[in-house]
Amino acid sequence: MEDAQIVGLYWARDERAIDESSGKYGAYCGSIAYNILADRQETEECVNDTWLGAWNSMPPHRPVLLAAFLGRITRNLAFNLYKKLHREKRGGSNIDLVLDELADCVSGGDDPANVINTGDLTGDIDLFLSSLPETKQRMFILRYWYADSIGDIAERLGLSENNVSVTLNRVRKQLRDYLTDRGYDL
Amino acid sequence: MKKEELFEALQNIDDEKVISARDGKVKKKPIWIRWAALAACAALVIGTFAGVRFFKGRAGIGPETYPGGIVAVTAQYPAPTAVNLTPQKFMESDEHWEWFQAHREETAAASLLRGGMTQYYSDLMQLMLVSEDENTVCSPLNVYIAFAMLAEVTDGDSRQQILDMLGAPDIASLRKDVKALWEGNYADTPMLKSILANSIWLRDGVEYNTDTMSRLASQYYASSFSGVPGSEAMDEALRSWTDRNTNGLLTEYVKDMKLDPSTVMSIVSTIYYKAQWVNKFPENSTTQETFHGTLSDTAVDMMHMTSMMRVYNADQFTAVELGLTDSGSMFFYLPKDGVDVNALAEDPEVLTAADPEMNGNSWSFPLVNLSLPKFSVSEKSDLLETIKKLGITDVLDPGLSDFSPLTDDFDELYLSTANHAAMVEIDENGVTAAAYTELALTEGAALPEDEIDLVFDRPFMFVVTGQDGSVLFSGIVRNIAE
Repeated sequence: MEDAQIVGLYWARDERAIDESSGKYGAYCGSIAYNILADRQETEECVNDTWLGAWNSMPPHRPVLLAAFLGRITRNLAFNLYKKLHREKRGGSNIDLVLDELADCVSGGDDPANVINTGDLTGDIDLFLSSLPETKQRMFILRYWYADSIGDIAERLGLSENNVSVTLNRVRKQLRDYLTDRGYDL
Repeated sequence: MKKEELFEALQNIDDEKVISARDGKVKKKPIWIRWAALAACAALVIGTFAGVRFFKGRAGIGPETYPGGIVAVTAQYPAPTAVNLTPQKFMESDEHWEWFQAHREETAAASLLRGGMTQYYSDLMQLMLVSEDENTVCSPLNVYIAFAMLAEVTDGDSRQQILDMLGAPDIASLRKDVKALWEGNYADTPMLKSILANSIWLRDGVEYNTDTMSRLASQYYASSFSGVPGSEAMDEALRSWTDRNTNGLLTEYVKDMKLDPSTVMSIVSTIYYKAQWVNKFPENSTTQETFHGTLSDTAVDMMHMTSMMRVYNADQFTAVELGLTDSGSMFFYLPKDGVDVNALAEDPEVLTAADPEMNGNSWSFPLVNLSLPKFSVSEKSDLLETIKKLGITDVLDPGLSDFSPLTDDFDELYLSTANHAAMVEIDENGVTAAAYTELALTEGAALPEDEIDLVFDRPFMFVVTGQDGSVLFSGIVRNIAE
């Protein structure tokens, strides 16, 4: 079924919306949740909660790219669950490595004076990503949006794992410089 | 800032970047073959063909043939997508995703123009859709493209008046706009046909400006035909080209097309459109009911659907939007009690409702019991009176007109014919529509007197938009034949 039709079902409060979403995007959302949670049961719960989240947000939303819309709900739910469950037990999963890498870009400080309007920050990151060549942009998003493993990214982009690691390292430094230049106190 | 906060800040980056990261396909854009030196090219092949056969890469249409004595140079249009797939299979295939991605970029470019075209749409619809008892229908986009080509062959005030009518600041931006509109609205897939075509018809022995001819070929994808205007061979080629590019939907008008022997150039622009409803009407729900036309009550096939639908409430009308797969939408406008349907053709809010960017607070999303008659409306109109009202006068007057970019061979040229024919049909599955605009330039001193009164009228109005928001077709249905 087409995205617009699935969105139509949500708007019509028709429960087939959930079956259709699950059939078409279950695996996609599942891969995002699993990258963050590394646990099958938690992933399943998280994906089920995604359809509920979608049900509650359509209407009022009428997404054009349904995959991104659903993936974003999953990513948000999974990360919240991760923060709740994994505060103590650390190590091993993709997300821990991903977050450690992102630590390169930030100070890790918690100074309320440094609280940043994340709307602007997102916009500036978007501009930064637009300025990257296509492969680097995809690599960055696969790693820091989807939390895909370095191995998966290397395979998807037809590059060596080493190449991916080194490139990501450079892009993170570029991002940090870019944001610092724009006055962010990270 | 904490690393977790940065991870969360990434949450809302652009959807398309997110999708294309995983999707990972290289976008394939349709290949538009651009040509140069069309006139020179045409001159080279004169006399070498007895009958000319040309192949155009269009699905299931087969080779194009024209009678002997006609020299044709056919523009190359993008090849159709996924010719062998059924619409359903196509929608599930990767080909659809690739097509959609590439097409969306083009419609995005075209949708930026919408603002500048609103005044033109509104002026044209006001003049072409108002009427008494006749059904009226036109294709604003098709007329726009034909007049843009006319602007190319004129200069001075003649050109300026056309630019003013089209709402274009200058010829360079008009060229850019037409190209974006063309590429944004051209689709040839198993699910959606939105096929635009242009042609120019030239007289043997006349020396045309090579730059202008190549521009029409390259920027407007115009096929060119040269021969002897007034000859049966040329008329036959004209009818056959037009019939073919409107998919035979306008044969009732096309059969009367012919070129006057004094024709120096004729421009014919066409559109063929076929799209399916996102939500189809169930066929077994269609019933026979009465349509209260302005002339009489008639029994019609009334389609029914109950669903949540987007409904727009304005002072003068209530409108409902039905989505068209991979394309824009069709909007139906029912006048409120006491409001004449003609008033809608003059109501700027009609276009506001059809503009995807201007949703405002007037839209709601209630459950609707929709009853909509199946109908087919068609009309041929003479545009000469309409364009006069829109400020175009110089090209109509052989003494004032400036056709210097076209040819230096004639002192007195004028626009003698401006015809527009369009049809729109809806049923349970979707919309089928076609239109052509024919603009003929002749030499001579007399202005034609045959001016048709273009004022019409009826009980509901409709507008069909492309994905970029362009108004592909609009019309008013007042009576439906049994």
